[in-house]
Amino acid sequence: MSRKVQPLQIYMLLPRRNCGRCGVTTCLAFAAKLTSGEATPDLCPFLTPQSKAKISALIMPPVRPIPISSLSSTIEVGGEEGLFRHDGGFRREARLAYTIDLLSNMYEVRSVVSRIDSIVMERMGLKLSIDLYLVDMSGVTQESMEDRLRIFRKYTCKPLILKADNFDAYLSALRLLEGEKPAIMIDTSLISLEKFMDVVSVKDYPIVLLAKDIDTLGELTARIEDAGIEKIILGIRYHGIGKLIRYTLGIRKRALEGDKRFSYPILVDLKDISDSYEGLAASIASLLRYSSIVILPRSMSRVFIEGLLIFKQSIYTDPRRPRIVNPGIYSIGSISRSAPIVVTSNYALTFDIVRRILEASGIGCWILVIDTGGLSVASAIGGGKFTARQIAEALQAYRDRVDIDRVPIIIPGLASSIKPELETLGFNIIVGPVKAKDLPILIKSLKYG
Amino acid sequence: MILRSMRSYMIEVKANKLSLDMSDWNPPLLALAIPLDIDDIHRSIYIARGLKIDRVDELAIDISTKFNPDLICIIIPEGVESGSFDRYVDLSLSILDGVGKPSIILAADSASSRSILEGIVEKAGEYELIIGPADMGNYRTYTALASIYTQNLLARSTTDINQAKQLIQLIVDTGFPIERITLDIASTGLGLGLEDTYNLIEQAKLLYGRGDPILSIPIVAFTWEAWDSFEVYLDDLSISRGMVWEMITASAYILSSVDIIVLLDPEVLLYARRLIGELSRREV
Ligand code: SF4
Repeated sequence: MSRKVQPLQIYMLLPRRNCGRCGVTTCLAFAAKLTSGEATPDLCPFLTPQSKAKISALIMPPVRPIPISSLSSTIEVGGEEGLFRHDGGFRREARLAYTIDLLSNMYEVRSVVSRIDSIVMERMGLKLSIDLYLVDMSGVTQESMEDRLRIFRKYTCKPLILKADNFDAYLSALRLLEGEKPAIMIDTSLISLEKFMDVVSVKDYPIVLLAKDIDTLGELTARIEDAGIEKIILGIRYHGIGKLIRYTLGIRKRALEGDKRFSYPILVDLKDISDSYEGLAASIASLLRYSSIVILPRSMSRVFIEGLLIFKQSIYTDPRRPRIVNPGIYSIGSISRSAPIVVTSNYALTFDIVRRILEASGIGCWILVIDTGGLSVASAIGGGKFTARQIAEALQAYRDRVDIDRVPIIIPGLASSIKPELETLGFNIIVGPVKAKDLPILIKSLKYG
Repeated sequence: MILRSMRSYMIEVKANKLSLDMSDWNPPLLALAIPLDIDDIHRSIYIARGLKIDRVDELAIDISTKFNPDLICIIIPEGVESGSFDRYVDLSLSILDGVGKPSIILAADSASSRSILEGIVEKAGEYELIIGPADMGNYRTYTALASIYTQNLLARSTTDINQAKQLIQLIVDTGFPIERITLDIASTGLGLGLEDTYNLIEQAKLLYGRGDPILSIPIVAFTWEAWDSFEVYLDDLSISRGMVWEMITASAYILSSVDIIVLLDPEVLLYARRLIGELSRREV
């Protein structure tokens, strides 16, 4: 179902100088990178505009990438090309948005922004937070709208989606947000689409079309495409989780079948779900079923948003690429030669969990990371990639920094079977817990140093 | 696969093929875990849900009456002194009998825990249970036990679809019928690699839909590891955070077309049931 362009097709359009200016040594390697979406044609300085256009058309994913930007950052949504997560079909991370009602008291607006922006989760070296705001200007008078928007813009610099109940409100807001490219969400039951199609200045902004079902969405898309608008986001209103996933699946399938009217990212508007649990379930369903932007329910509290941030990061990691950290020894806290060593795999998630648990406990220790090719401890043991020999060799490399013959060396609970072999090599081996969260208790109970 | 309790309460477990819009789909059966040893996390959850924890068998009946899971899953602890074996066997039998629902019984990775499982299975002749987990290292022991007492088996593999298939094939090669095997492909929780398990289930269900006979067996997913994430305990919101993380884990498993989900927090069971209801609703 996904894009089937072959590197050779692209290669035939490249200058074939093999000069390396694009960052890889040969044109064929560059063609492979273009095909897998890891490079853009701009990186080759010798491409003619015609070839560039042909290549761009060939490598365009079935769901077009659409940028939304503020003065300080740009996010791109879409760019997806498959149905299944396991074959890497979830390419570009979905975005979570939270609604600001500009009609509210501005003190309240400020407190909502500061509450939402303070929700930050740290994982795998990244700080995860809400990506953008939907600013709902409905009901705000023209006179106060500009003031309110100006004040709101001082609270946050995240990219925006604008929603209004009249055309002039959009024009004023876009004037005020000069230099930004917010998305414009249009409720066609309130405002005529023709107005947007006539004003050339609006055509360069991403347009979110909101519709009640797929067929209406298809009609609307065809109309604005004809008017030369190319940055489109398909908006789905919420009418229950079952309907939601049937619509989003329908859209994605049509995009993969090559129906141009549906080759755009999906936005799901969940803001009016009043029940937190239903909101959570609808958000998960949206993230797993092809939504590029999820407008979170207003009812959603911190704990729910935190979980969604972690979930979103998890499902958008590329399953075809092992997440690895470099094998070696890492120090945690204040350490000495006699600090204990915790042995783990180089699967980035495992390492991140172990590191953070140990850091939080205030214990000084070493983490010895074994090269398992990015496999977790359990899988590595099954595949013979977490062996006593590997650990012994890795330990020898750090003899000058750690007293490896004496310090406690804690191996994962799942690897208990390799303890005897390591002991015969002269190491002081302790079998650790199966769950990393129990490590601090074990280490604190050890006598060493 | 048929599971049966002492009171002839019978339940059929059917394996799903991948259904992205949940249209051609058997909603998963929902089980609640009953740990024979209650640790601090279990205690906090049960107290928060208004359950009494003085006696595990009474707690199991209370949970079953109030939350009505399709199945229960008895968890045998790891390190049990030999003098206590009979107590754990009797306790398990009294739970099976008192709850009267089809059940899964899981031993920990220790000889003592497996001996208790053996003791239970020996005396639970009229039940049709799922027992396990059988992995690459111990599948012969479990297969023999399940064969002798005509029970169903839970095979547990690491995070690799081919290893999972290899394990099933090894069990089948012993003469054990494939119709009596279920599979857990390294279930985990949000924050601990849930995305990998989701992938594997999605892949397994897709392959089954394309005719792979080895993957025609029901897949079981366990959600309780969601409570093991470090972030759950960042502050005093741990009970609500653990619950939400388990809910997210359960949602992902439901949407993966899994066949049985074993939950820890009874409140998550209510949530999962609601989500299943929403997904099953067809507009006229
Ligand atoms: S810069 Fe262009 S010509 Fe040079 S190697 Fe790359 S693709 Fe080929």
